[in-house]
Amino acid sequence: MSVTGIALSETADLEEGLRERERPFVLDGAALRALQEEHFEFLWRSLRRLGVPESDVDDAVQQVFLVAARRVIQPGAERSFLFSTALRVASHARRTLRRRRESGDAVPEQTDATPSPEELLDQRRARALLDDVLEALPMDVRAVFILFELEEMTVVEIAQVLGIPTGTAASRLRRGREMFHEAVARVRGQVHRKQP
Amino acid sequence: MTTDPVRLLSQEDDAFTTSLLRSARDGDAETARSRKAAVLGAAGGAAVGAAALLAAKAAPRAFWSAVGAKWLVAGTLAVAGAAGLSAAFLWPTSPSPAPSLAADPDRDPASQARAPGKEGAGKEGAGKEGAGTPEVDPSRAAAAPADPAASPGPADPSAQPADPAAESGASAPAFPGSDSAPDPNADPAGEASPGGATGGAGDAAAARSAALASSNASNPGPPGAGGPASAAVGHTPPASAGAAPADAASSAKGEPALAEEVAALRAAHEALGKGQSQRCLEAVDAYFARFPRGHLSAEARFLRVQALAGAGRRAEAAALAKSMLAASPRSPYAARLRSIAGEDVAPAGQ
Repeated sequence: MSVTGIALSETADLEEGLRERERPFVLDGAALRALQEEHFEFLWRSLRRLGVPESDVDDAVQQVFLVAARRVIQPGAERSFLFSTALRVASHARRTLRRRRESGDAVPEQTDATPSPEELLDQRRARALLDDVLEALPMDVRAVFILFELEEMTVVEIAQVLGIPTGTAASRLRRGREMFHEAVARVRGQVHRKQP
Repeated sequence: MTTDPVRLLSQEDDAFTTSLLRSARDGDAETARSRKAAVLGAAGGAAVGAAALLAAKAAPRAFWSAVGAKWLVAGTLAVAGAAGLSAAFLWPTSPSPAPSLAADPDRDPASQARAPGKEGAGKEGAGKEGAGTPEVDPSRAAAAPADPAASPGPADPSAQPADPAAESGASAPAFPGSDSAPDPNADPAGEASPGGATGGAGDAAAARSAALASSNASNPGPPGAGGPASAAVGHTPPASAGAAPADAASSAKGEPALAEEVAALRAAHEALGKGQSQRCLEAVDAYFARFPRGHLSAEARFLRVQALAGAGRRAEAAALAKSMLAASPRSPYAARLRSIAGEDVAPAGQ
């Protein structure tokens, strides 16, 4: 059992968790399978980038599909539905993580902030630092930022996925970039200070 | 129409910034691909009683949903197994120890049933990728082309390991000698297989995905869905007869017996809920007397452990919990068993 595992009992705390469980499956096995085939990777990447620790992402992805299996999703709106569900799941996972940090439980995968220059080259290390940077962005801004910069979606697509006006998506992207650069400068400063 | 700005990765010339972004754009994509293969591949292959695993995380209150779900899984075991077969073929890193399995006629069904458990247990520490899974599932599936008639067979054990529902049914014929042993404690081997294999999968999410898939598969028409496939299991040749007939039998005529088992255990569960530990223990004993090889024996044992603990017989509870854990370290109830056994951390290598 992973320390940071999103226990199902906690999932039940999700706003609709309990109701979801009682809801009958709407998708049949084949349809669900097709949905998973098509969107698994997108969801995995998104949840990871929304701040779910890597060790918990598999679970989080399945939670999203579990919700999806019990919903009638309009054809063409799958990605939008899945991403918005992922946002909820990720927010919840992050809250849980924060609680654990506050309560002093061991939380792996936090950057220990003492990287050597070699380590910095290491992708994992860079990835962990990026986590720190993205943590500085509020969730709604972060969503737009990752969809644009990492998922390489257009602003219009992002607006559709999130169900927000294009102008809002664009302004969130602007804010996201500003905050990203500020956070990068801060993290860079920390890294340099720690280096001998 | 908005004109999109240029992406940071394309315009940024600061190495630090680009290395951060690249780590996510390329690194995440890569990991996502491999996790998809692991999770969806395993899910398709191992029709896993992940429902039970799922329930384990939600522990006590999910008890009955686990029981229910596991039977949904069992009802469609063969269907899911068949799906798993094709999924396993697609497994990207299939190491194919299959030929040795398929080509070894001396290998008795019992050892086949137990082998994955031991392998899985041994590899439990091997890491997140679930090193055991690719070995177990593809090998089962790969045995199929070698002997087309046997195809329903291999699908079955691959579905069985993680499905505690199938566990008791499958383990029974594999251990004919234990037929007369109504005491569940005497036959921990029955659990070793599913538990270990789940451990091999090492992957709760994969299991969860399987739960999702299998509960779904059963959704349209629960036990009936297992019909055609379980008929196919009837053709299973002797080589894999160890596991298959029990499933065939349980699918074919299992419903009334299953309902009775559920009813019998419900009494135990309700007694436990009311704090009547002694009554719970009696109900569990009654269950085992009636269904010495019942499909819910793992649940029954778990109830017994809880009742013993509730009755203040902590030493007995801990001993039983330990023996269950030893037999099935990745049991759906492992987390709670550990706390009852007084083990905070899973013993490595078990």
